[in-house]
Amino acid sequence: MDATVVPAEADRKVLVRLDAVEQLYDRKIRILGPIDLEIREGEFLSLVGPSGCGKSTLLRIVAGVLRPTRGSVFLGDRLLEGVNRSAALVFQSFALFPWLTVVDNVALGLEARGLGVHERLKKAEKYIDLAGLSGYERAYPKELSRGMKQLVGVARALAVEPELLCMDEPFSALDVLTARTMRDLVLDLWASPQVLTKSILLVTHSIEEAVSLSDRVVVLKANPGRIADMVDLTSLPRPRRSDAPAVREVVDHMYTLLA
Amino acid sequence: MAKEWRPLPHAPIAMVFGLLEHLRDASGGREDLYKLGGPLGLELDDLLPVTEAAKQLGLVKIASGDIELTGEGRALAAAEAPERKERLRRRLFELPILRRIREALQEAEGGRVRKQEFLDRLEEHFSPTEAERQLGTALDWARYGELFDHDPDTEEFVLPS
Repeated sequence: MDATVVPAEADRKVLVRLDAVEQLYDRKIRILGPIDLEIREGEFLSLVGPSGCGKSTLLRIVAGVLRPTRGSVFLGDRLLEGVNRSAALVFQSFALFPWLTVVDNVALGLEARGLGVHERLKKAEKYIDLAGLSGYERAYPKELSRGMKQLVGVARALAVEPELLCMDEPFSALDVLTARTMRDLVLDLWASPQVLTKSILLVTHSIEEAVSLSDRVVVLKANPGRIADMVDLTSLPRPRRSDAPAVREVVDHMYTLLA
Repeated sequence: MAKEWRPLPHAPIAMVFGLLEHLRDASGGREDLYKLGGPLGLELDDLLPVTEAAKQLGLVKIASGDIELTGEGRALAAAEAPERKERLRRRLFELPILRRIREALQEAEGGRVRKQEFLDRLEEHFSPTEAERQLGTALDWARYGELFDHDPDTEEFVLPS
């Protein structure tokens, strides 16, 4: 391959591979799977579907905080056992520590990674700045709006410089206007050369959100959770306006699959 | 009420940006106000503060049921993050409560004034609960624009370090 050519989506390095992953309840009722899925380097991948389709379960399996009943998770060639240290999580509920300031909340994850205090603060400052939170360093979570709280959650996750950022319904506790500006911000951060994290896994119940953000969208059906379709959107340039005909067409397709 | 203490609407900054972006993508940078309610799903308690905040900052004009970006609103909606912050910072000086706190801090020794002093001033115009809320919103916006900060150890407002 010519060295100057960007590798096609399908040729990119695989970060995480799910191999016939299944989740059973009480060892007999199938909730999810079997699912085969690859998350590739540099891609923005979304899991979209109704409640009960297992999208959050899949995200937790990728993050290594939930062990699947059957099947395997690989990081590159290595079998994942325990927590996935190359991933960081952002939660719908923000999950900030109320007794810590913004800068301490962001620096917290870095302590667990064994960084010294000076390094921790430097890195926390960098990501606070990139997230547009400078000025709020000394604020406590209760003083922040919901949108700003979620920005702290994103800055905290990015600060550990994970290969993969896993976001579980990060915008669904926000009003429509705040959610809109937060989506733009996440795309800006993802595109920023200063942010080292280049792969994002997003779980959402909004088809419009998945289509506006992602390179690929995995559409999941419920009972049991299974993949209905995998839609490649790499050819749709961003920003994607919801009224653009190509966007409408993809959104319609996904609603039709699920209806 | 004296114009110098015009109340701040309790709208988060991020939501104001969301409104600007929404209007930027609406045709002609203009939208029927009611469409922010029903079709977009904003409740009145969200919609009114955010439109009022954008208006006080000089970023939108509201007339005969329409809301429209001003020139500055357009520039802000189009700007990238660092420029956005700088532009909004300049607009924040238009808000009397923020400007007066900032000026008081600049005149004070060490750039510090007890929060209680501002509360006392505000309580001449607002109920104690509302005075506290006004200061909370002022601080939130001031932090975004890096106009001033709050030191919880001493209960003082301070110029940013």
